[in-house]
Amino acid sequence: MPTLIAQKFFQPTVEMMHAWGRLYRKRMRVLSVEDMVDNGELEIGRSSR
Amino acid sequence: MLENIWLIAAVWMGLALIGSLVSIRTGISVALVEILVGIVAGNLAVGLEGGTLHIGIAAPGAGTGHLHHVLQSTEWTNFLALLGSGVLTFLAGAEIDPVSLKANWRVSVLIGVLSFAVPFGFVWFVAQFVFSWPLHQAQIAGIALSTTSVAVVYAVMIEGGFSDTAMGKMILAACFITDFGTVLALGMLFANYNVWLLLFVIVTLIVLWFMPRWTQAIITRLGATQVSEPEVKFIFFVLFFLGGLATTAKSEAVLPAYLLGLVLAGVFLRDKTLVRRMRSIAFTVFTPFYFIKAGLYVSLPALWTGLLVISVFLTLKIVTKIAGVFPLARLHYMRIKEASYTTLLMATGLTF
Repeated sequence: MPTLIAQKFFQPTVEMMHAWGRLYRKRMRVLSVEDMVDNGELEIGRSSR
Repeated sequence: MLENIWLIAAVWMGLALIGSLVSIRTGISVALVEILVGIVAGNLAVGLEGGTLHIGIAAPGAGTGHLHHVLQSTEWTNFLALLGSGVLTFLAGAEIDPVSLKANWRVSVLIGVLSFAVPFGFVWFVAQFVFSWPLHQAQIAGIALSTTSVAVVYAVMIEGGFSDTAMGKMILAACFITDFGTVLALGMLFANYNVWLLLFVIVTLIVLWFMPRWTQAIITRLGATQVSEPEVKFIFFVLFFLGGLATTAKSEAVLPAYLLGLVLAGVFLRDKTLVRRMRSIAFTVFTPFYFIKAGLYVSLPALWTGLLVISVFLTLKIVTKIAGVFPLARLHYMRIKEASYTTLLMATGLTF
């Protein structure tokens, strides 16, 4: 039941989920693989260690 | 019909196919649809009498007179269901790469621990002191309602394409911590400790330490393109071995499965083909048996007679999950929609 409600009424988009990750890492000052840009380099300036 | 393996398999796969079609049509996770299909088919009994087709509702396993249950559980369907839970939990662990785990560990641990502790403590208290249940029964109620489900949440994440996002990985890790809490609580309150448990812990730790190197060595030496798939067989071998050891030690086989996935996540990050192959095998052959079998546990007649108590406990579970998870999610920069989503996923209930 709770999972069904979550999926039907509160499902965030993939973009929203990525955005939370960026915001969280920025606030916590950590980097993750999600900070990698396409060529495998770490994206500088988005967050700092 | 009763002993015709092919027909039994056809019924199960037919139901899995219906589940997939309904899931695609409605946008609801195939895991949930398969559980629902299992509930309906498991409680359905049909029979021919005097040339007339009779259809009735009967709890799975209960006597049905001249009617026969549509869905039958056999030893081999139980085995496939067991593999489904193990492989799915392994894959859930493999989604969480070490770097993401490190980045999100704080929020995962906090949400995971409180998602277990708040419902466990509160439901135990209510069952013992409000409903006057005996101590052990109250404890079991607390444990049962504190769970989430790594398997269901993983299926939801994969289908939505969320498993690559930080939030998806955080939720999956939190789910594992919650379920780990339930396994620990079960062990501490009810298990008998023996030498097998000690052996299981030691062997698991050693295997987990060497597993990334062993797997990478197999991939490097043999290549990841061999038709005989030695690397997949190797992972299954270790998965089954540790599962067997866990069962002998009266622990949960899915526990080493998740940890195995976790330590191999780095290898899987480099070799996405491997994880896709294993995922295809799991979702086609194993997990339908696991989810449909989960539905088989639900008896509609029992659900009807115990509707009030079940509603009270479901409400208790959701309220305590909200109390434990929602404020933490908001504290960790989630908006209301995302925090609600996280909270409700942590309130998913199925064995591991």
